[in-house]
Amino acid sequence: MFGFVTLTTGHIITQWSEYLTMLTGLPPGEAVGRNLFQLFPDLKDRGIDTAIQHVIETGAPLSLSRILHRYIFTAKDGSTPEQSALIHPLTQANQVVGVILNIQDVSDRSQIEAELQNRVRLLEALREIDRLSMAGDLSGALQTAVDAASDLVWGQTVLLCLALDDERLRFTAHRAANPAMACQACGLCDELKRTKKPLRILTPANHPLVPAEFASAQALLIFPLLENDNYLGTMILKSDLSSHVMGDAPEILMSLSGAAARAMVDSRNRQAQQNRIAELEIIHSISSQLRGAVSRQEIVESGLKHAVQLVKGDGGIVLLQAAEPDEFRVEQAYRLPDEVFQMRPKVHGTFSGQAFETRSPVQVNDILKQYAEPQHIPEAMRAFLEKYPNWIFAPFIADNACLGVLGICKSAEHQFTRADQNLLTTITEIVAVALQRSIHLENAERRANQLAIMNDISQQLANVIKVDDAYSIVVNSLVERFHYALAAITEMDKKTGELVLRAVSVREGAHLNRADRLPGGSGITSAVLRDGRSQLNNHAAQDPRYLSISDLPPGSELCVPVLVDQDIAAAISIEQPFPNAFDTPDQDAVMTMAAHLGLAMSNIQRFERISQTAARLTIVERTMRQIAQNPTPATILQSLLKATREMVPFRRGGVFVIDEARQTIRAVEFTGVSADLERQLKEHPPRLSDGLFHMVYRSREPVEIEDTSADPRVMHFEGYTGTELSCYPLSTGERVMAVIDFDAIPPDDETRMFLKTLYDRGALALQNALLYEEMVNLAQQRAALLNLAVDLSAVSDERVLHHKVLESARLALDLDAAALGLLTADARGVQIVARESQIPGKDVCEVGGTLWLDQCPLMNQVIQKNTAAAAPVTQPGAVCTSLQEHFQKQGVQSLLYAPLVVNGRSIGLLMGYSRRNGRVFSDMDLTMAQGIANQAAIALRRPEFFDKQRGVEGSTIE
Amino acid sequence: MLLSPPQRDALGELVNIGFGRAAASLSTLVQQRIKLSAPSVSVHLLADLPEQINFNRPEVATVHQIFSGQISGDALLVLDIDGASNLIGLLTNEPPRFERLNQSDREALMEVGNILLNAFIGSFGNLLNVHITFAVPRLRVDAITDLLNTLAIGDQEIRYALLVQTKFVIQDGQVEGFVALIMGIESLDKFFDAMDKAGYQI
Repeated sequence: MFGFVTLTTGHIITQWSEYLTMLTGLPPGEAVGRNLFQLFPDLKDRGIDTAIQHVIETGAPLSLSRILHRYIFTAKDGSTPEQSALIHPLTQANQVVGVILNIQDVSDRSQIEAELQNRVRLLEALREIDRLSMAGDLSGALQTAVDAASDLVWGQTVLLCLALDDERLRFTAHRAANPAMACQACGLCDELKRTKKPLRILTPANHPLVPAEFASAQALLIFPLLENDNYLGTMILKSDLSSHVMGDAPEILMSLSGAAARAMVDSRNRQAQQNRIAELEIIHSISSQLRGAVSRQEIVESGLKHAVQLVKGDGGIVLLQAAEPDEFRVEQAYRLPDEVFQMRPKVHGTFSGQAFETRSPVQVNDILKQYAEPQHIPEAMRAFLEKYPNWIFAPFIADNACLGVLGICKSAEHQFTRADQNLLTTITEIVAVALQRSIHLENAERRANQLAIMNDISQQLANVIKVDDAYSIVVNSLVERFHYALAAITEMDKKTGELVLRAVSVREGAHLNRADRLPGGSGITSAVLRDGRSQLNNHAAQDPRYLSISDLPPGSELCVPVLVDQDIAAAISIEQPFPNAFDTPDQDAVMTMAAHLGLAMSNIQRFERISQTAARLTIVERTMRQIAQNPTPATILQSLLKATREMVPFRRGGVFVIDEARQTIRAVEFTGVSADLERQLKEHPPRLSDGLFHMVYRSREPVEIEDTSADPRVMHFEGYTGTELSCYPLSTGERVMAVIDFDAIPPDDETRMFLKTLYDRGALALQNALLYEEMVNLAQQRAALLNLAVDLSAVSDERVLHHKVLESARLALDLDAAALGLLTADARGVQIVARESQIPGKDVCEVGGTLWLDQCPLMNQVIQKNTAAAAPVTQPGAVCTSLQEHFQKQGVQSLLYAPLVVNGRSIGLLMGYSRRNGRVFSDMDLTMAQGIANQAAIALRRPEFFDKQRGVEGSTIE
Repeated sequence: MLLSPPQRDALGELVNIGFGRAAASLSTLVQQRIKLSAPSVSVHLLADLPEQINFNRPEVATVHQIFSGQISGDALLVLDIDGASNLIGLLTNEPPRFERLNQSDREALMEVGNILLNAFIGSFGNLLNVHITFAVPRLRVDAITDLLNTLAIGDQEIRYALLVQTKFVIQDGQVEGFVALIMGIESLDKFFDAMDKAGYQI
């Protein structure tokens, strides 16, 4: 709308446009010719006259703006529509003769500009909200939102109610100080939270959802703050006019509430990001600290402090498993009363224990109410728990093992979130790894110490030559230097299967309560000795196999085998009187100890074998030297028997010489046998034709019998035959000279080899000795017989002859008594004609007495066969019973009879008696006796020869 | 172009008289007490003007009014955009909006510049006794270099600018800008001749 008015320089109206007529209601007829300022005096008040006068004076056009003047002419109704104006000079011949005032109604444009300006301000507000949000000033952003909303909707009251995680806040427009106030939930917010849709209420007073504080408003416009359909808060426009909630207001509130929601989300995301960064920094910090930490104390302390800081806790605790299986010990506490260290929380039935056993975080609120036995909590700790009742527990897990539990607390007003749980899981993982590394380091250090000790023990073991000494070193070291409560070394008796405690050591104050021998199959040790595999039992009380050998309570037991040249020789057991005492380093240490012991035992055994071999060589050499120095059969056999006993410690044994020609055995030497039994064995030795001796004699190989009772080849002699039996031949290679038996079995092949060597050499020596003895005897016999023949040839007196014969026989045959008897005329008996006796008392062969042949079968046999014979008195059939008793009373043990043969016929007997125990007349004795008897027969018949010779000489002469 | 000290003093006196009159007119018109001061006056080649008008932002608001007569040229009130908004805010008692100038803002700015330039140049005419006529003022929002380029197009004459640093003081606030009179060498000579004739010893 345009209009104009022209004026003279005297301000007289010359033209008045239609618009001005319409605006002012003044028709041109009433305006033209009138002074403008008289018609509209207010123009002067507003300086319009100055502008017009300025143009008149300067001739320069001038504009009057809406902003500075708002209007030029007042409307007829008194309103002031916005106007701008331009004053141009009207000139004539370069002289200003008047002015024209052009008026423009700019109301529409002004409104558009206002709307645009509002839009710009809205955009500015949105931009400012974004800027403040980006700057991290959420409060400023939200305050800007409500301020802008209020400004853009006619300055009405605008509220922003926020439902945050743990509080409700309210922002009110243009509250510079303390912009956010606490807010109570109301029906409006609840409704929007439910519907998530805007709400326009035109009659708040009657609306059921409207709280009292908004009831006086004329209209309410409510918009939700949403994030992906999640309700964040409410923006409320409380208007005094219903029209204020129409038009642009919904759009403005929607934009600003959206911007506020974005700011909240951005702020939350940014806060979450900052928190995450802070968390990462803390995690990095603890990770860096723990990377360099080596002590368990340092790791636990740092980990706990950082964990509390990370989840914004009020205190914390670190629990590690105690020695008792169902208990924790408080390893570290942070901001907790000192009394907490008095506590021994149980693993079973507690929240910390639940985290430990399930290996997952456990969160609990109001812990005291859920604690089974709160009365057991120290008073100060109970008060602390009342103040900080919300707890979260997270396990320390590394290498699939749970090392303990971390617990963090918060006050009742603050609860732990899922994020806290994740953070604690992360930090406990880091701490657990550090703890594990620390434990490994401690183990490595312990291992190094153990190795040093082990090295020392190894050196000690290297110098030991007795197994018992080695055992003592090991068990004492395990108790005194490794500080185990008990150490024992057990062997298994292979015969009985029993466990033999070879060495035991217990810590001071503990005592053994078992004998040295334990039942076979008992204890964990039996399994180790059987399988050769280590056994680690950290809960011995729960193991039915556990066998206590001391008064220590059952705790943990570790048992490892001792291998000697791949054989299980023994088992080392160690014990501690509490559970979970042993771990891998302990096992390694004891296994290493067992390996050293096994090596030492192997060396000891080797040394013992060498020593034994040397000793046996010495025995063999000494025996052979003795034999060489005194090579008599008796000495040889005694030496062999003695040497055998030194090599194989038997109880009873004997040597039996074999008469190959007669296929008889002669018992020669015994050890450990009673005199009666020895005599009996000498008188009645085993026969060579059967039994064990026959086998040995034939095979020339030794026989060893472990159980003689089950072997039919064995002839049992009470007091001589044992359970075991070894029977070895003394063989020259051509013949078996003798047999040695004893009631034991050589322990090893080396012993057998030495025995064989000894016996082979002994057999040769025996053969030589026997040959030599035979030769000597033969020579002596011949000499004796020759001497006797010479002596008798010169004797004419019969009594002297008898004496010389009997004296020769007694001396040559080592007799205690000797007699000569002549066959009676009826040839039924033998009459004693002479005797020589060393036997005191009444002699059995009194001169003049007669021994009847029917009473003495042996004598009869000699007479009949003309062959010398000998026998023990007790031999059945040798003599009659009465005569036998008589001989026994005299102490006669053996009898010898040699026939006095003349012309192929026996005329009498040479009789010999020996009281020597076990005396058996040999063939050589019989030969000698027969030679003497022949000389005696010749001498006794010599007078008859003379007579016959004289008769023949006389006849010849005649 | 270097002014001699007497020239500078004479110009300063002339400018202050003109600014005083302009301030009075402006105060009457907008019904507010407005003070105008001119801390410095200088003369430059037109080409050097951008170096002298050194605002933070290249875009400026200018009220441009062509004047003619014995002395002719272009009169400019140059404000940076923030200064222009600030000036409007001070005149309307509203907080400055520092945004794009709308039509009403431009009108107000043009009115202020119109009065200032009319009063300023008009006072020159009266003091120097020369007749000067004015064209209708125009407002431009443009880069200063672009504005000056349009002034130089088609004119081979060497042009100078009488540059007056201008300070508006309104209530508690103040706005700084420039008033520039751009004249050819001939008009500038006449300008100084007129000053000389009017008794200003230069």
